[in-house]
Amino acid sequence: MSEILVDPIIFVSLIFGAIRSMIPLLLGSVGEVTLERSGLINMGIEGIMLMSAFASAYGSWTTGNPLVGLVYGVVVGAGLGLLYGYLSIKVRADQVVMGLGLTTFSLGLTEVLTVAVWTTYGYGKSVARMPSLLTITFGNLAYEVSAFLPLSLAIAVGAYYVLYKTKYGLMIRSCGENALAADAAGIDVPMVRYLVSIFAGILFGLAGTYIAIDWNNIFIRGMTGGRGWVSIALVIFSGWNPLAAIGGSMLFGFFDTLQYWVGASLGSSLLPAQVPRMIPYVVTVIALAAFGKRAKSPAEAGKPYVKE
Amino acid sequence: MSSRLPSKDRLSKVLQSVAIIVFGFIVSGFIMLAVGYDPIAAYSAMFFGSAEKGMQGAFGGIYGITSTLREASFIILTGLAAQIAFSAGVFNVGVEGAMYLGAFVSFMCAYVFSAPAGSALGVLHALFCIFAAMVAGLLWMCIPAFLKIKRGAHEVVTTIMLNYVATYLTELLVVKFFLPTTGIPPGGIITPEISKSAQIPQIDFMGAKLNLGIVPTILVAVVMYIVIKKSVLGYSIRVVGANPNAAKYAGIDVGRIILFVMLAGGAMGGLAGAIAVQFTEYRFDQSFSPGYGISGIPVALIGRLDVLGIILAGVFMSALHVGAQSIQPVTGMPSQISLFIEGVIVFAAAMPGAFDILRTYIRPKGEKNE
Repeated sequence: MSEILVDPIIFVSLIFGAIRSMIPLLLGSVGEVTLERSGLINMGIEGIMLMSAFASAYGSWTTGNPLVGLVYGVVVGAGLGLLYGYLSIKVRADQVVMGLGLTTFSLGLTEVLTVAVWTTYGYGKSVARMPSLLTITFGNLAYEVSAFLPLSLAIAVGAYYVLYKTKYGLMIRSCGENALAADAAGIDVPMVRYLVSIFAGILFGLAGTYIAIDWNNIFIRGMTGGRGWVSIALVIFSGWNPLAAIGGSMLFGFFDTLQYWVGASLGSSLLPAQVPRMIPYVVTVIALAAFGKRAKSPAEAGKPYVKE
Repeated sequence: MSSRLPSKDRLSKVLQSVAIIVFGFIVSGFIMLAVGYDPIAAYSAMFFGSAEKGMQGAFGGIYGITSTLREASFIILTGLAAQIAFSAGVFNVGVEGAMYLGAFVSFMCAYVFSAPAGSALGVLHALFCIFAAMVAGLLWMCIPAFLKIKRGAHEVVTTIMLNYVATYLTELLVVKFFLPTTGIPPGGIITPEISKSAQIPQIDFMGAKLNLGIVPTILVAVVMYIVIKKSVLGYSIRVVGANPNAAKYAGIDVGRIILFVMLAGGAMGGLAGAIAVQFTEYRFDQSFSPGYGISGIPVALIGRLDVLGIILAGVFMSALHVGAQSIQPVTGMPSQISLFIEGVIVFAAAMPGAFDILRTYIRPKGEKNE
């Protein structure tokens, strides 16, 4: 056990794995942070990620070009973000119920579409993968750096900058803290929320796309594996701050990858395979327990704004 | 949610639920068409089966009907669990996990102990196993309940995470202790059969076997109706659901109410698990639930948080699940089709505002300000 911990090869591969697992969590949590700052809560991240994962795999499958897959994934994410925004803002639908509905719907629909596209149940066929940015070699270990890594980091830093250093960020945050006052100050609250909703949808779409055609090269049923829900927990963990979300995603990514490492290094005779698989979920619950109380959410997140 | 509705309002609630279901089927039908399937054939296979493929759907024969009733007992229970939480404004999505643990504990108690079947001791044993399952579900639900009350952790996220943990936990226990390591593996992650004394017999129903899970389910529904509608506790639950701040000023311990509704849901989940083991399969099967715990949410929503409504909605949702099993052999669509119809229905149920918007379109302009 102790040799494994100090073995540099394993240590490095663990760090690389954590970086790989971090990307969808970071994209998901930054999207949700921005959204909650504007006063909406999207509980359907898991569903949007899954739909985008399917769409990107489909795009890459039909054209053989993963960039088309990327476009499909992002368009589906943006579209579902817009739909979510419309139903929350205009129809004033219950945002938690809608999220559960969207997730259930996506689980079923992607399953049906998998059969329709690939004529196989539960699994698609392997598709063209996104090209990697560069390859780092460490000893006999080669790690492909995904283009999504700098992209997601840039988005997180950019979101922080816009939210806290620009007047647009002030507009967004005022919609989430006190929509009535924001409206009185001349801010078009529904418009701000629509735009943020589409932005967040794009990020969720990117996360799903990454999972399907960058991290993997295939669509598998329920392949997002609860990462949408973990993203929501991360929002609270990182105190509604996109920069803190980078650290949070890194930490959660580490635990996400630890499950494979623990499983592989101890072997199923010593430790049943199900124990490491529980790790990310248990860590999420512990994090919520530890940080739930401290965190201060935007005052009006999830409350529909009704203009009198 | 209020206790005494004028009959006109009740009718409009029923109409809204029917509208939601119809909407769900129409939207899903269009999606099926777009994907290239025949929705009429799919729905007819779903509800009436297909004679040439030997499938009965949900209502197309005595086996279909008994299956629908069997599944309904699970879904009504998880629906009631979701309802009691909703009544206090809590989203309990963790019934699935409580159900798995309940099923496993019921199996353990029924497997390790045994008594002469048919004797008074045997009946006591069966009841003990059911009771243990309910306690297991209740204890499991303490985790998200305390996290919500003491730490402010959002119950939707914690319960969904804990569902993963619970199902991995039971899988671990079955694989580790009940699967043979050599020889021919049984079909799936399943345990040996439980003692005869803990098995609740299935009755003969026109040539098909009908389990008695519906009996404890109806019992729970009646108890819940009385608690919510007639007791002080039920009144407090509804006040907390309507306005937690007002409840606090009125001297209601909001934390205790939240604890109660979540633990009650856990116990109901545990009972559903015991029904799966002791009333139905007589063993623990890791894949016994196609998501009954999650189906409780749409059932509570389209049942309009009304006990009778939930019973009807539970039978409907069960028909959806059972019927979906016939869709795969008939049309080639996977049985998860039921999930997407369910999803559209939940989605529609999230939109009370939609009916107002529709109404303003339908009504003549002059009546708008009524």
